[in-house]
Amino acid sequence: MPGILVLADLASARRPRLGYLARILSLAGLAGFATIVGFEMLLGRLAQDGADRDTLTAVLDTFQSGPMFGVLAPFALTFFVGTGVVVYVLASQPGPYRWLSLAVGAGAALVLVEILSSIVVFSQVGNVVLLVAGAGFAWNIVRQSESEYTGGA
Amino acid sequence: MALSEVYISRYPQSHGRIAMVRTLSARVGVVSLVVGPLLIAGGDLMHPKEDADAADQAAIVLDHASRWYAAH
Repeated sequence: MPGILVLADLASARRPRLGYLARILSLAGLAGFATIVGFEMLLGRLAQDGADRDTLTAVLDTFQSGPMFGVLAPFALTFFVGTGVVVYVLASQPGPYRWLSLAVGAGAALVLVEILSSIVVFSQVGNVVLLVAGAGFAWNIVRQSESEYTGGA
Repeated sequence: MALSEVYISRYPQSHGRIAMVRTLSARVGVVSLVVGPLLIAGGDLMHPKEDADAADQAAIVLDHASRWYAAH
């Protein structure tokens, strides 16, 4: 979460209103994702504790029903909208963050494809891309800040 | 004027980067940019396959209960 806030801060430094929007959407999205991940942990624990297939199927069906998923899914999707806003702001201006933000967008898009298709390899590749992009952001922020602070010495 | 704004006005060419790195929250954020995706990617790489059908998904979870739990 702090890393996402850093990206929103970078966007805010360029487009304050869009940066604020990205912060709100990303945090709402993370809340939705945390709920879904927590549910999937619960499934794993139920299976470890000896629940049978019919029980797990019933729990899954209940979670994926309209009254549950219909409420939670829009929250989770706001994460992708918020990420899209960050990518739009950072990629629309020249600078070291253009390609890194596009990589974040590509990684997030692959994760979204996995959610829609249930093909795990998409999110595996997407999360590795996000890791590389995140490390690139971190390296760039620290390196360039130190360079400017010392006058490039 | 907030400290970050002071830094931004003092070093406009930095686009706020100096202000960010000079705060504890920004340092935590920079570390989080690496650690967060690392944890998520590590978990996802051990993630069992998924299936859109609830009954088939339940069978996968049963067959890989520990992996499923650890991945999340």
